[in-house]
Amino acid sequence: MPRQILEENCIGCGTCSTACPVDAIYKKDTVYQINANECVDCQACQSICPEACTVGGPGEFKELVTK
Amino acid sequence: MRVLPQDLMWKARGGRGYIDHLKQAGMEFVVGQIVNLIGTSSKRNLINLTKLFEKIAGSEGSVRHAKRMRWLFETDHPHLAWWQRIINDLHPNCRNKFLLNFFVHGYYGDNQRKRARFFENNGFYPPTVLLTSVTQKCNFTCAGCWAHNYEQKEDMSYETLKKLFDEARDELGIHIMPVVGGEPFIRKDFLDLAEEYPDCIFLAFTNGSLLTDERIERLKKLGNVAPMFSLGGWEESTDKVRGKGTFKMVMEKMDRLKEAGIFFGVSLTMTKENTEETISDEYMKMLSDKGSLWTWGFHYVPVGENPDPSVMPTAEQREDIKKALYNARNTLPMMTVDFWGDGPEMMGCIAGGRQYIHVNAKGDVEPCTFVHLATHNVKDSTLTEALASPFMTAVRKGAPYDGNMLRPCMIVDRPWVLRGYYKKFKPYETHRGAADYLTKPEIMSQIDEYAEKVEKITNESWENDYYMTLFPLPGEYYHDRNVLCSSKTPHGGIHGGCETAGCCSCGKDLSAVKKLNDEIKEEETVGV
Repeated sequence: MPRQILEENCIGCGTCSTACPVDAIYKKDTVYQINANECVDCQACQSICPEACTVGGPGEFKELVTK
Repeated sequence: MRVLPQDLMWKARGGRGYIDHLKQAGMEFVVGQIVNLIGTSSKRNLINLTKLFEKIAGSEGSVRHAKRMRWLFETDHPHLAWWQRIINDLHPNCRNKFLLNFFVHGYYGDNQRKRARFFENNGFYPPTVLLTSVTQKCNFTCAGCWAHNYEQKEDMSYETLKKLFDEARDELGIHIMPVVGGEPFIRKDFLDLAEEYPDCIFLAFTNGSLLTDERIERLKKLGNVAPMFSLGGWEESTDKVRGKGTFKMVMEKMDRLKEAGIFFGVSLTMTKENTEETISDEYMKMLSDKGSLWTWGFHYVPVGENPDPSVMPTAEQREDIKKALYNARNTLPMMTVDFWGDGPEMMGCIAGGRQYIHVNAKGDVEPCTFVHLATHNVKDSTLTEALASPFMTAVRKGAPYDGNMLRPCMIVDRPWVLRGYYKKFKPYETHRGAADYLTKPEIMSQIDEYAEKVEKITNESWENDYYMTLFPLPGEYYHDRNVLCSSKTPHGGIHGGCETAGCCSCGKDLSAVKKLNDEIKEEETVGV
């Protein structure tokens, strides 16, 4: 279940992209995005993100958005 | 956070450090001499030793360790008895080699200098432990072992092993070299090899059957080889897995080694069936009484061709193992390590060169003994190159994943991670069926189910701060199994918290602990 980055929370610092072991996080305009095909769901980005804006798969994602 | 992150752990002490790296070489010699000269292992002597060590320590992590040790000694923790046992009971040769090679060279002296240099050159820290399979041959055929999955003919030559160890010691600063297999003593030249590296400690994981009297004599002379016997419970359970008569034979060998004063330990393989008996108080007590100074707790991991995940200890048993091994090292003069439950001590998974690396008998560099995948072979590349490969870098970088170090394992706790690495980096299998647990749906589904249960249990423990490092840190208080808190569930989990909460009915006098903590706090504020 690949991770996703909440675009509206992302501050574009790139911390997650340096932490990613499989280089699946890339910059898109001002924010970062996770390549779903490359992500191994290790959650390294989640624990390091200063804004806590990376979240799990679809279910978890929805929950956070509606909060 | 109770554990120091790696970069802080190995950071050289600036300004406050008494010596720089160059001078440290001389100090290392001095420490060695002091260890040699310890005539008596009284509590006071050992406390003074930690104070000296604190002064000469070369990194923040070492200072922290020294403080922790001093605190343990001053509060009469059973760990004090462990050191006294090493100093009093072991043959002087074995004692000195162990203390010097394991602690001084392995963690605090030579190692730190070379690590710093390695970091400058390569941009990442090398491991502290190199695990090598010197052979895949074994005279036993234990159920669940993968040794016989490997091709038996391809053991590394003596020269290749020498090249590997030379690089590990001289470039990476590794002095702790566990040797697995196979049965290491099947290689006739294994002890010759150990003789060529007198400043390294070899922990030989063995079934014990080949430890003849002559070999024991030689071990005594060498001093830098510590046998670790494989066991799996009392006689019935051990013999069922390892063959009839194994348990008795190992007990006999343990007596011989104890008599000779050789440092030895036990490696326990825990399965769903034998967990209860291997972690029972009686069993731990028996191992300690028999003379084992170090007990390694390995869970069964479903590796090899067509493995059976249902043999793994269950998620609930895993919690029990964590507690039992913690209790054992805090109540007996014996060191115990649970590679899964003690994740917090090592900041999660230690594989891929984060703390250790495995080289199999063919020379393939594998991230973990339980991951039989590789991208490099030491026959045609260096260990440094292998460590710098994208696969190993990913294994190192990913840990500790979401931060919960109680489920550190990328094989069984977070199986999707290793599957992802396998897909992305395409490492080769080092024996037939090595990737079965990553590709066969029926095995994968069982591991997934296990991972889900582990996640549920350990997340709760992690969030409630219900975990521990190897020993309680200064400021925490521990409970031994005889004098548990009256409620049997002390504040904050197994230990710690009582003191700050100001309520503990276990009856122990906490004033000494409090005084010491205040002292340490004061020193820290002055130092900063």
